[in-house]
Amino acid sequence: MAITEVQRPGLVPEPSPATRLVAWLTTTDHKRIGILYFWNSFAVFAVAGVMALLMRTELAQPGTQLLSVRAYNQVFTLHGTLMIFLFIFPVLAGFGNYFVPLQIGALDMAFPRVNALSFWLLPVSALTILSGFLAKGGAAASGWTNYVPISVQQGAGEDLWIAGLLLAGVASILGAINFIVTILRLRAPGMTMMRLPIFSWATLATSLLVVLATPVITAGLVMLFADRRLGTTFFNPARGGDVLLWQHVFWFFGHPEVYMLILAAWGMVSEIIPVFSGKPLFGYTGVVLSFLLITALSFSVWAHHMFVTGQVELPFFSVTTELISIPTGVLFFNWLATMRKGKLRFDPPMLFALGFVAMFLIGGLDGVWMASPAMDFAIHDTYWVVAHIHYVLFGGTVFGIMAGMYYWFPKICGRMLSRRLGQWHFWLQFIGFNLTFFPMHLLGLRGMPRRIADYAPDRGWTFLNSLATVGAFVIGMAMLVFLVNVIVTLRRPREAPADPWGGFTLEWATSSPPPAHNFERLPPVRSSRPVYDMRTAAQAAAEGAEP
Amino acid sequence: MSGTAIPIRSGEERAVAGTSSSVLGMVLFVASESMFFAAFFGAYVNTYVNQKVWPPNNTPAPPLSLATAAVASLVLSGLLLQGAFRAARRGLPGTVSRWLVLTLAAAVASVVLTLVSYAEVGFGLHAGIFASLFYLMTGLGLAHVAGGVVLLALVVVQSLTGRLALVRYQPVQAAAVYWNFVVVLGLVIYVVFYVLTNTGG
Amino acid sequence: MVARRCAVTAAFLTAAVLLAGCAQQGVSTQGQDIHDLYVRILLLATPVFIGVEAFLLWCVVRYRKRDDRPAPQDPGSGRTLGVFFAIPTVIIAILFPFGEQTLSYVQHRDKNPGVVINVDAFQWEWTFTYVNEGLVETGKTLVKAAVMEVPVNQTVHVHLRSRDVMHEFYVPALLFMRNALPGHPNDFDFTPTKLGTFPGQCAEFCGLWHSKMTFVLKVVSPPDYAAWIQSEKAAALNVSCPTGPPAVQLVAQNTSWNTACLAVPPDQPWSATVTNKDAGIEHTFGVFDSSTEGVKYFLSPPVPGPTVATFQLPPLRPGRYYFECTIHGPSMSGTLIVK
Repeated sequence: MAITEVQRPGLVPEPSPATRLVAWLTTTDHKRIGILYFWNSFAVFAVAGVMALLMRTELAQPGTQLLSVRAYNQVFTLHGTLMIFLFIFPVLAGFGNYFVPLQIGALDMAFPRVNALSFWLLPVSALTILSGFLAKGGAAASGWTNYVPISVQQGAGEDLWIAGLLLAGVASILGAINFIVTILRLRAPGMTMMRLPIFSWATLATSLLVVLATPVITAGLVMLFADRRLGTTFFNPARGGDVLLWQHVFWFFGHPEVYMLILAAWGMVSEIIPVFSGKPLFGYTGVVLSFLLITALSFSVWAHHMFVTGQVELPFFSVTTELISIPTGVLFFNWLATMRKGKLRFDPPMLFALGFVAMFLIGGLDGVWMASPAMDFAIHDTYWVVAHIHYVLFGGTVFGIMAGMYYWFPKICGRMLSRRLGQWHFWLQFIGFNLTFFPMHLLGLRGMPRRIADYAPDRGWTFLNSLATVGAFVIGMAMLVFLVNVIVTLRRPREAPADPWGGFTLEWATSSPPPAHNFERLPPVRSSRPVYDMRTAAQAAAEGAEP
Repeated sequence: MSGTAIPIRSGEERAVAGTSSSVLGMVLFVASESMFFAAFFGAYVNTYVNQKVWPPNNTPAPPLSLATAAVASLVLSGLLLQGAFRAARRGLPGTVSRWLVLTLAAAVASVVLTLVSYAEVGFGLHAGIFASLFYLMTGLGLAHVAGGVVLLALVVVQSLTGRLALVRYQPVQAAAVYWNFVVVLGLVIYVVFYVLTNTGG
Repeated sequence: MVARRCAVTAAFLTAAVLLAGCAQQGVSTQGQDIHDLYVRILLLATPVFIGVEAFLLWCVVRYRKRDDRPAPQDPGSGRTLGVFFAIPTVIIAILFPFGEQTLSYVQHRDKNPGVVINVDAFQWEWTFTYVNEGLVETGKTLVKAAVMEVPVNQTVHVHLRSRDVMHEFYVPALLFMRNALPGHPNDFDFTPTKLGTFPGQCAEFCGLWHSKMTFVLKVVSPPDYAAWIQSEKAAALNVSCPTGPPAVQLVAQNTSWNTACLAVPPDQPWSATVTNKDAGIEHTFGVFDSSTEGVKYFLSPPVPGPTVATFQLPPLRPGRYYFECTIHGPSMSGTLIVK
C-alpha cells in the first residue's frame, strides 16, 4: 500500500519509537523486508564467524586448548548449518527482496504478506537451532550434512536442529514462489525475459531450484524425525531400512542447494563487472543459458558426494559432474570478455567482484579433482574438501555478497560506504581468506581428515594449521573494518545520488533510497540496460541542444 | 458477453496479461509438494529394490475395501470441483455454490473413510520399513487432503456470501489446481500401497 | 613478448612442480596410479588457472580507466559463445578417460589375494580379522590403535564392515579411503609396494571420539610377516589362567572386561555373574568356538548398566573357547579355557 509522504512537518507528530518498531515488525514493504533480512543474516554471520574462530583457535596446535571434543563437534555442526541456511541463503534472498522488484520496475513482490512471513520464520529458525546448546546433551553434533545413523543417536539438540531447518525450508520455498510469480508477472512494460537484469535471472534460477529441491530435504527431515521419535525404520538396516537413503535424499537436495548459494552472487558480479567496465555484459544470452543449464544439471550430480560409499554408479555421476563445469567455465569467459577493452574503475564493488572471479576460479578448479572418483578416494572427507567449499562459498559467495553490499548500499541507505575503508576491508579479507584456506589443500593432500577436534603432533599438520588460524583472525579484522565502515557511514547524512556508479538497470532510476512506492516515473524499457539508454539519450540530447 | 473479443495486447504489455498471480503461485506450490512426495516415493523404490519379499511378511498388504471407497470419494470430489470450475467460467454464482458444497461433502467423506480404514490395517507404525512408508505416506497424504478441505471450505464460504464473483472466481481455479494435485496423489498412493501389494505387483 | 611467454612458462612449470610434490606418491600400486591421475589433472588445471588469473591481471593493468572516452559496447556474439562452450568441453573430454582408466585399475579385484582381512569399524576403533590365518587384531578406544600388518608386494583384500554407525577406512599414504557402512559391506584390494609404518584413521564423522579413531598400517617383508603371524598366534595360545570353581565373576567397565582369561572345569554346568558398571550401556556375554563365531555355545540377553545378572551355562568339553560382548565385539573379548 502506498504511503503518502507528509509534506508539512509539524502538523503530524513524529512517530514514537514504539510506533516505528511496530511498523518494522509488521511491514510488508519488500525494501524493509530486505533490510530485515540483512540485519538477521549478518547477526548470524557474526555468531557463526565466532564459531569459526573458536575452531581455528582450537586447531592451531595439537592437544585440547579451548574446546572439549564434545563442544567442538557441536561448534563445527552449527557453524556449517548457520552459515549455509541462515546467513548465505537469506542474505542473497535479502538482496533479491530489495532489488528484484526495483530491477523489474514493480511496486512490490507478488505476495507481500507471505514475503513478511518468509522473513520472520528465519530468526525463529536460528534461535531454535541455537537453543540446542541449552538442551540436554548439547546442540546438534552430526555435521551440517547430518548423516545417519549418527544423527539418529543424538539428543534433543538434534530435534531442535530438525525443527529449525524445517522452518527455514518453508520460509525459502514460500520466498521462491514469491520471486517466480513476481518476475514472471510483474515486469514493467517492455521488459521481455531477455531484457531482464541478470541478477533477476539469477534469482529466478535460484527460486526454481528452491521450489524443486528444498521439499526433498523437508521429506528427509520428516523421515529422520520419524525414525528418532516415532519408531519408524527408514534408516535402520537392522529393520529393513537403509543408511544410504539419507545420503541420497540429502544430496539430491544438497547439490542444488550449493547452486542456490552461488547463483545470486554470479548475478551480482555479472551486474557489477559491466557497470565498472563501462560496457554491457558480454554474452548476456550465454550467461542466461549457463544459469539455466546449471540449474537443470544440478539435479543430476548428487551422488558425487557419495563416491566413497562404494554403492553408487561412478561413471555416470562423474560425467554429469564434469559436464556441469562447462557452463561454469562459460561464465568466466563472459566476465573476462566484459572487462576486455573496457574502462575499468576499481571502486570497492569492483574490487570484491574481481576477488570473486579470482577466488571462485580456484574453488571451481579444485572441485575438478574430486569429480574423478579415483582421485576422490584420496581427498574426499579431508581438508581438501574444506578448502573447496570455502573457496566457492567464501571466496565466491561472500566476496560476491560484499561486492553487492558496497554496490547497493547507497541505494538502500542513501549514503556511500567509505572507499578507503572498503579498500582496507578488501585487502584484509583477500589476504586473510587465502592464508586461511589455501593451506587446507595441502593439509588434505597430507591426509588430514575433516571434522576432527584434535590431531597428533607427529602428522606434520601443525604448521599449516597455525597458518590457517592466523588467516582466520585476519578475516575477523576485515569484518571489523566492514562493521566500522557501516556504522560510520550510517551516521552521515543521506546525500547519495540516485545513480552514483553509472549503473544500467532500473534500480538506479529512482532516488537513494527509493520512495515507498519505488518509482516516481519509469524510464522506457527497450533493452536490458534501460538506465544506460536513458543516460546516453540524455547526453545526446544535451549535446544536440548546444548551439 | 461471449461475443466480445478481448483485445490482443501488444508485446510491450505482455507482462501484464496471462494467468493470475494466485493461480501461478498455487501451481508452484503444487510443484514443491509434488517434489516432497517424490522424495518419499524415491524412498519406497530404494527400499523395494533391496527387499526380497514385498510387502514383508509381518506387514501384509492392507485391505482394499474402505480405502477404495475413500479414494473413489476423493476422485468424485475432483470431478465435482471441475463442475464448479466450469460453472465459474460461465459466471453462474448459484451453480458454482452448489457444485462447491457437493465437492466439500465428497472431500469430507473421503477423509472420514480414510481415517476409518486405518482400523482395518493389520500392523502398526513400528512394524518395520513397509509400515514406516505406509503410515507416513498415507498419513501425509491425508494431511494434505485435510488441508485442502480447509481451503475448499473457505472457498465455499466465499461463494455462499457472494464474494467469489467479485474476484472473478480466481480462488476456484487456484483451489482446483491444488485439489487436482491431491486427487492424483491419493490415486497414486492408493495404487502403490493397496492395489500393487494386493495383486502381487 | 618472448619475455612474457618465458615468464608464463616458468610460472607454470614452477607451480606444477611445487604442487605435484604436494601429493604423496602412494605406497601401493593403486596409490601410485592415483598420484599419476593427480598430476594429470594438475597439468590440465594449471594452464586454466594461470590463463584466467593472468588475463584478469592484464585487464586490470591494461584497461584501467584513464580517460572519459566510452568503451566499445560489444555485447558478444553467438560464435564467441560457441568457442566459450567448446574450450571447457575439450578439457573435460580429455579429463574423463584418464579418470576412468585410473578408476578401473583401482577397482580391479585380484582373484588370489595374498592376505584377506575383515575390517570391522566400531565406535571408536578397529578390529582386523585375518581370515586365512585365523588371527584377530583389535584396538581399544583412546587406549590402543589397532595395527594392520601386511606383507609387501602382495595383494591385500579388505572386506569392510561397520558394527554401528558410518565410519571410513582411510590411509593417506595409500591415497585411498572407503566407507564402512552398516548394512552395506564394501570390498577392495590394495597392493603395498613400500616397507614402512603408515598412519590411518577414520575419515567419516562418527561421534564423540571420531578424531581419535586411529590405526596403523605396517608393511613388512614376507618372512617378517610370517614370523609376526606365528608370534601373534603363540601369544594368543599363551593366555592362560588357573581353573576356578564352576562360577565365574566378570565385570564390564569402560567397555572392557576385567579379565582376558576365564577357566572352568569341563563337563559340568557352570554359571557366569556379569556386573555391568557402564551406566546407560548394555553388554552381553557370549561363548563361541572362536572369534569367527562359527559355533555359539551361549549368548546372554543384553545386561543393562548398572546391573548384575547371573547366567547358567551348559557343560563344555575341554578346549579353548572365545568369549565376548557381542555388542562391542572383539575389543571386548577374551579366552575361555576349559580344563
